[in-house]
Amino acid sequence: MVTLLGTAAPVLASDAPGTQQDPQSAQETFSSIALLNYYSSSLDYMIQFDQTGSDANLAKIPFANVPQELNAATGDFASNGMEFTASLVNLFGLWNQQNTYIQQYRLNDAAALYKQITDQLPVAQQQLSQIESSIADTGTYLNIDSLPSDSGLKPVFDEVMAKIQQLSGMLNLLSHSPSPAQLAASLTPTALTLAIDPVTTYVGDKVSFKGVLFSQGKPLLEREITLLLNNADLLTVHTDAQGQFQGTFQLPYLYIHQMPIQALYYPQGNDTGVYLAATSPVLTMTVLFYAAQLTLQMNNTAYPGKEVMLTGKFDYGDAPVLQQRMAEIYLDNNLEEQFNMAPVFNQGITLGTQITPGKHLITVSAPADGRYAPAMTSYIMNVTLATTNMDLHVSFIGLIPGSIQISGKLYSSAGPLANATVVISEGKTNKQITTATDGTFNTKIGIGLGLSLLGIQGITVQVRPQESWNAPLTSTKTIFLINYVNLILILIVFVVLAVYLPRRFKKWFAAQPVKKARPPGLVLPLPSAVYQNKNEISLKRKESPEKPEETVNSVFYWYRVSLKLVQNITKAILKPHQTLREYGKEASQALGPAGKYFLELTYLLEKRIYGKPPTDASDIEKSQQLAIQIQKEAGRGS
Amino acid sequence: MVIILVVFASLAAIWYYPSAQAFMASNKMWNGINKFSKQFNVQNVNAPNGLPAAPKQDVLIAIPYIPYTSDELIQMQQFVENGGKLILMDDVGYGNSFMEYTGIPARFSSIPLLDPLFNYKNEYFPRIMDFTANVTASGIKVIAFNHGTALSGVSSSQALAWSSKMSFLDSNQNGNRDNGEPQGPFVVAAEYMLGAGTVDLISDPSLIMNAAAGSNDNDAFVKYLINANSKPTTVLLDRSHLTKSPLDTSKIKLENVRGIISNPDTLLGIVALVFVIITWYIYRRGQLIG
Repeated sequence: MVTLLGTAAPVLASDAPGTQQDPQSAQETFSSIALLNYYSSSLDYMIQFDQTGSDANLAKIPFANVPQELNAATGDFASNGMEFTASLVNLFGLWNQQNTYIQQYRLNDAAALYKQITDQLPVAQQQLSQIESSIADTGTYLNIDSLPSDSGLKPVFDEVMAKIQQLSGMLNLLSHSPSPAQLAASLTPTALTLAIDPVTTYVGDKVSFKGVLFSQGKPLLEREITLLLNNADLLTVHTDAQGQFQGTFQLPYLYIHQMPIQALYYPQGNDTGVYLAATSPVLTMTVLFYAAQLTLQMNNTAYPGKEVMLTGKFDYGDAPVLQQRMAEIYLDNNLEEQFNMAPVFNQGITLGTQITPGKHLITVSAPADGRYAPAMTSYIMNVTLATTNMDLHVSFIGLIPGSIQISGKLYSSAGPLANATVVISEGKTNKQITTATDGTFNTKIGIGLGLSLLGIQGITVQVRPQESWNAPLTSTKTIFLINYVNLILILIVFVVLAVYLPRRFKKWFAAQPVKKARPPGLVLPLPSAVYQNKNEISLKRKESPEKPEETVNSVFYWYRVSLKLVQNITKAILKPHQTLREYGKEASQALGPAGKYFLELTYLLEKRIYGKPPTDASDIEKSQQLAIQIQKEAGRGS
Repeated sequence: MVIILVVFASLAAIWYYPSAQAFMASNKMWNGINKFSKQFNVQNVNAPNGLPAAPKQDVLIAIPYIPYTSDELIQMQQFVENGGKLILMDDVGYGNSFMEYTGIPARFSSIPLLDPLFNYKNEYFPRIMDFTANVTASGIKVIAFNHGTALSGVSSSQALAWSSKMSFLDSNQNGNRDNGEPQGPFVVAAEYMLGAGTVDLISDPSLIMNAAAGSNDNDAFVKYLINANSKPTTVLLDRSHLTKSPLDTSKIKLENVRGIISNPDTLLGIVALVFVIITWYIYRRGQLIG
């Protein structure tokens, strides 16, 4: 319990340095100024027509920490904000295009856009109104009106409302723009025709065009006509005396199968404010070119500092095969190589030694060449470090003091590791070597004499490859070390002890009763438990008068104690054919002064054995006295 | 007999009594990592020296609340360079020594990262909502920090997650944004390649705690980091750099003792010792009884 209390006490101790807090018991707080700042930054995105930024910012509102009462207001702000941003971006896109058309007196086109703007404007105004309402609800919750003028919250709220007013003004700008139809009513309409030949041709080929510009049935002379190809200006020509225009152009090297072509007249100079602009019907030109499918594959594993071989193939289908064309190889958008490539090509690029292992983008690009469209393909190249393998040869057993022979070979899938640094560590011993050109190494590591005897020791081998493409490696191998010097010393000690100790023990056990015999009480070495057991036996023996009772108070017992002592001293044992008296006489000769006591004790025992029980108490006391005398005399003798 | 009973009762109490220390696997309270340990079958390592030598597809999670020694830095670098993945989660800055040692330019700021708007309950639990495309593609929308910090010196190509624009580093630690205190977004998670392995840096270790701050994708984000390259063979937790109570120390020692005792060689030695003692006792008894 003491241990438990001692170890459990730190339950109340301080936490780790990180000072984390229990989220369940954390106090809830709300930053009103942070919410208003968030509104303000969201409105900034709208004012700047940044739809992506606005959407990303507003999408986070579900994760804001706001009071439950403001959930509806913030949610509405976010949803209406995203929709309003989209509307605003679209409306101003239309408005800008409409203005371009008006500048060109393309009032019909401008009128179409104007209608779109006026149709969509109310929706945007409604969305802005809802945004304003959400902000107003937030202001009500925050009691903005009742806050003092020096409150930090009030200026931020006013700033938000000012931005709402700014957005409202932007919508007003759209709604108050003049209608293009009003302009059109005061101008003279014009018309334009266009024809091309051929309609289908290859890129780079010549195309003829012609048309007529007229107004109210009369040709317009010396007017500039713009030819639009794929909605971009291609060229300008002037009408002749009959209002006709014509010419040729080289089809640009735009590898698009279908391109719209249109003629455009818009009033310039004296025509401004007199005529309306005119566009011809849109014609579609079919463009022919040769396209090739480029495929790429990598032939080997990409390692830092090594060359990676790329194989590419152009598939031209039914088109004529281009035998040579320029190509560029990009690695992660950086130009690596420029070369001429055949329809099937192999090209190597050497990767930098510092390139980060992982995925990299290889792009092969062949620019357009006449009728041949550009071709490009990309390949995700996985740059890896080659796994270093080591065949390590270390003997299973090592001797101390001595050295351990360590050899091995380092290799990877990229070949042997030449000149790699190998650091071998055994305990506190370190040795650094370098591998040969074939990746092999062979060395000895010395092990000094220590206090150890034998056991398993780890040998760590750290490999630092010279080449950037090989991965470093750390490997550990165990060896059974035998400290034979210490073992021999221990063995010698054991042998000495093995010879010395038994004799010593023997003498010790033999001498112990004698030494303890001096005080009379010490001649009773047997534990009481033994006597108790013996008493149980003796109780049974009481039933048989022939079997003498063997207790501390028996002659038989004292004879046994003395007999053991005598046998230890004289080394003479009671032989089977000997009587007690014969043995007593034999032993007493060797015993010296104690002999007579032993002989007397023998006679007492004979009397106990062959006489009639019960034994006289004086005999028992005498036998004890004799045993003590024997020990005393024997002790003097030894 | 009483002493033996007390010893065994104490040992059992140490073994089964749960830890209350932060980031301890046996701690089932809010600041423990019991759930995380079970989910990923995390193995504790008590020192970087115990890291596997060939750690391909092994993940080591390190929460340094105690500085690293130079030897430990060597071991950790080797673990990563040999193909392991290190997820270093730090909010106090001791992990910067690893970056300095390995040449990674990123640093843990150690200044508290607060977000007054996008948070769980209060500004000390900032919510992280901006991730790279790969992270977002795995379904992660938001994670929540608990008294975390930010990373500095991270290029955008290495970043994995950012705090919101409303977040700031509370340099004077007064809980409010003052003039001069840097405003977000800040990088809070990044990934670097090192040798054949990778190092992920997260500026808050509380992501793996039992008590997540609100309903968020903390677990999914940790799972993404662990499984980003491939399913790991082993997930290891460096327990040696966590602050420990005496109970934790006792638990660790007890685990070590159990490990030693369960060793077959040790068991053989114990059996031999018991045999020698019994033999000696019988011999002595024989000598005395005669």
